Amino acid sequence: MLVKCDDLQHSYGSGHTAVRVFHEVSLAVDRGETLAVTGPSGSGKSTLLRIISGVQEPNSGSVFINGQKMTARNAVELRSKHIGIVYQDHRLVPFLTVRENLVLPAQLLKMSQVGDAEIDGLLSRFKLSELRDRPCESLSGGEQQRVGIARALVGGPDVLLADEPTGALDQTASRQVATLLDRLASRFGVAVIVATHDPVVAAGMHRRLAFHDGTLRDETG
Amino acid sequence: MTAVRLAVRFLRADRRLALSYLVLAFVPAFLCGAAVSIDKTYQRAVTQSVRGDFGAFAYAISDLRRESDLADRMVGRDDAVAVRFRTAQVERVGTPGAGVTADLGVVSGATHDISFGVLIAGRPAGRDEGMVISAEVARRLQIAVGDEVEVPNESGGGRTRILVRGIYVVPTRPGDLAGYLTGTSGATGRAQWFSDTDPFTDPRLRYLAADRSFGVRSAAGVLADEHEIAQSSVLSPFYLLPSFLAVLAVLAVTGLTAITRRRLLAAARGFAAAGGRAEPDWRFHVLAITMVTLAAALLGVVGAALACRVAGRQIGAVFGHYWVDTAAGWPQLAIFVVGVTAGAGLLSQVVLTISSRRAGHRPAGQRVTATAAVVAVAVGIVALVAPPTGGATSVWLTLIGGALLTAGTVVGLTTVAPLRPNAVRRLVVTNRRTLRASAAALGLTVFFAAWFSAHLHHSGAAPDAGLAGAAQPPGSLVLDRISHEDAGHLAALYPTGAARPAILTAPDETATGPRAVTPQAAECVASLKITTFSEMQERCDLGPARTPVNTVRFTDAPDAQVVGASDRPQVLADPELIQHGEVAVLQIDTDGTIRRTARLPAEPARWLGGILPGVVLDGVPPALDPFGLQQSASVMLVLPEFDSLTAPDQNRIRAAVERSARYAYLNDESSTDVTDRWLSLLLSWSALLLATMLAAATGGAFVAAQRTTRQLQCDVGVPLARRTGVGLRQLAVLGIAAVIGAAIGIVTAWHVNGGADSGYGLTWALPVAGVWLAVAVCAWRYGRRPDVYAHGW
Repeated sequence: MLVKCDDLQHSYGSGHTAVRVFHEVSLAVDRGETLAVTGPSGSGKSTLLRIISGVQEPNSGSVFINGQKMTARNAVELRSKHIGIVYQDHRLVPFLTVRENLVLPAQLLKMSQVGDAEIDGLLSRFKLSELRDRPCESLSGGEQQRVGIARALVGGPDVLLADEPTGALDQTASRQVATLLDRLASRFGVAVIVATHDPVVAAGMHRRLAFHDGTLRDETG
Repeated sequence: MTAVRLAVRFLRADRRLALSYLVLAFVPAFLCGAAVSIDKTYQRAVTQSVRGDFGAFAYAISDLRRESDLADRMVGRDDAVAVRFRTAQVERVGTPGAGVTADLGVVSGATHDISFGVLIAGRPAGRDEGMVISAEVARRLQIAVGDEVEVPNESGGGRTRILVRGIYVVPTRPGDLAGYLTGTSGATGRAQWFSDTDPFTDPRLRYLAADRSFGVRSAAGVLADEHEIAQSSVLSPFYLLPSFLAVLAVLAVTGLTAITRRRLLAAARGFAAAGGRAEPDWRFHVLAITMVTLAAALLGVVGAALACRVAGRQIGAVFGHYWVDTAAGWPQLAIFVVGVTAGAGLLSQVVLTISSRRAGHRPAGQRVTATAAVVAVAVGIVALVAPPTGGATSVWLTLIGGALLTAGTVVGLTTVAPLRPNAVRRLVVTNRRTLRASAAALGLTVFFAAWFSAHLHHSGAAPDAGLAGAAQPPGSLVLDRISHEDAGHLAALYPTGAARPAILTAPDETATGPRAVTPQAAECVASLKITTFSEMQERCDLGPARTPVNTVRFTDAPDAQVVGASDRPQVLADPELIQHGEVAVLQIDTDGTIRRTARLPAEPARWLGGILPGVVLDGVPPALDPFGLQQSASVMLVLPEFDSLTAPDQNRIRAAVERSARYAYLNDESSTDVTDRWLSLLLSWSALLLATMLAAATGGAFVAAQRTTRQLQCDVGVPLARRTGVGLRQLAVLGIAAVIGAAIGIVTAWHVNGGADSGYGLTWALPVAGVWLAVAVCAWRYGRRPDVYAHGW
């Protein structure tokens, strides 16, 4: 199993002011699988993704990535090797071109295996070749999100975490992004976990989990 | 308690970020205090130098030696001069009159040409070997243009003959003994400056260092001319102006960098995301705040430097010596600040317009941009053409400048934001309270500025009541309300054949003002035991005024110079004693008997002179006249038959009059040498109040503008900083930073500058606090974003 969460529990604050976000959360996602995590605002979707990515530690429970348990010590390494993250607000460097934004992770993380061919392949795969030399700040929201997803895939991660990837997009663009994520899973064997409000995006995923009162329920099918 | 709880909560949550804020607060505050410390030492030495308080000056010499290097590196020290000092005997040579000598202090090896005074005979020496000497030197040596003098060579071997090519006078220093020497004579390098006084006490050199161990004192000095000296009081609240500028610059830069910072944040988050990190960490915030602070400091310095240049002062003054012009410079400074603010707003607006267009959004605020452009250009023109005038004009210009400052600040600050045409209305609607408070504060600021300026110009000399009916022969040139010294000097310039000038003082000045009478009149006063000025006018022949007036010789104090009669003790200047830092206190009894009652160090005598009513200080260097008694009294000078003088004589006198008039407002006690301690303290407090209000007002307007900007930006769809709700923790840490920074700055400035004893402490401390208040406001804007930082992606 590529991603495995065992009995995660998390709360904010401590003592009598503590607010429990979720408890007894377990899930498993394999290669090529897509998973949508839904739920109302504040239910813990983003928190769950942050815990899976190692940005945040749960109060209790464990996260395994490719069989390795995520700890504070190896979180950065696991994240760099296995996890790509897509943000709602893209988080691109606005004054760099599309291609430069894709090259950036390879340079910063010293991914020697990532060459021009891979970057060009990503550009082509995400239909960004024509935009490659345009600064990202001049792109539309949908285009920027495509660049954001492409950047997350630089280095060939096994898991793609997307936190509200369509939150800032219109319906058409949202649909395109959903299709793109699905294609990533089916063609490249990437495990995709998406936290979303968008029913269109959620409907396109293989499985759908929803937060209810701090627990995660399977609503697939 | 709430604040403490918040602070503790924040510190527990974000230790590193809190630490960064605190460091950022501490370091600049410390540097600010250190800068104030250096400047204070410098000012103290300057003051002592200016006041001729040689004994007190000595202890500061070690400091000065260290700082002389600093002076050499002083930016913009166009008129800095390095000199060496020695004593020498200058001797008249040739016939007739050979052998007449005068002992002078010789300042030699000047690195710059020195020019001052008004040429009244001959011509400047130029590159030819020769010397232009003061009228007093000429009188003592009994020489005229074309005669020769011998000056001992600096090396100690031999003497050099030098041709006297010109004679000059310094209107405010009629007794000056100085020679300006140029050429390639063996006695000098490029120039020599002769002085009858120790150059270390000469007010024209305001920065000196000495090395007594070698017997020859080396001086690195900045040659100050008369009006600069007149402004040299360290109590002058005008030193605060750079602080004002800094406050405004901080706010202006804050607005300007808001957009840049937003882009920086976006870039930082992009880099973080690409680098496998969830968020730009606290280092980014440190970087952002540092950049803002440095940019603000840079603009503040540049702005202050340019303002000084616009006002005709030295740019270098900004760094170590806040020579800001007197009230005449106020309007220009205000106008300049308006220009800077509006310009910054304009620039940011242009940047935003371009970026909006590139992003495919509709550019906003074009009308405001145009308005800002017009304002910036207008104030630029005004700043360039505004004359540095004094007197009442300055008061009005200050008022106008204050109004412009207010309007410009508002325009500039609102222009910083990308406002739509109806933005001002919305700004007002949505920020009534803030704006009301800001308007009140700005109104008070303008009021105090006006009051301050008005006070400067009207608290000085008493009106010349009683002189209106004085005899004024037909064809006379009547010069009203000129200084006592100028009157003496101008009278001395009058040609021999003309009728004698008359110097009149108002009867109501007899209590405190100096007397300006001729020797004959003084003798008359003594012989007839006259006690009032009006009686002297009635009963005495005023006599010809051929030389500087007020020369009365006393048997027991042959070199003392005093004039007038009073039944009260008088402090007399005994040149010999003054050399030793002492003065004689003489008493003129009602029967005319002169008695030496005390011999006091200069400092007590200075106070005595200020405390005892009716004390007359005359012939006393300004150092011993701390309350400016000599300068405070104005007199009327009647130059009879002026119309019948030859054209050259008329022109010569007119030139001297013009020069006197030019410096008249600077010689006014109130606007220049603000030595009255109570007045000074009052002014300082006013300035402090002004600084605080200005900071608060601009800060308030800034916050209001920013708040509205966020709303408007949302309206126009410009990708914005998100709603950056100010978290309580954020507020708490900024409060702590501001308090610590301000406290350190205040405490440092307070202690270094003598605390409440002199008023310096507050003068410096509160502006520092004001600046930090503004910085806190800025930091508030640049505080971290809780939604991003706290466990965000």
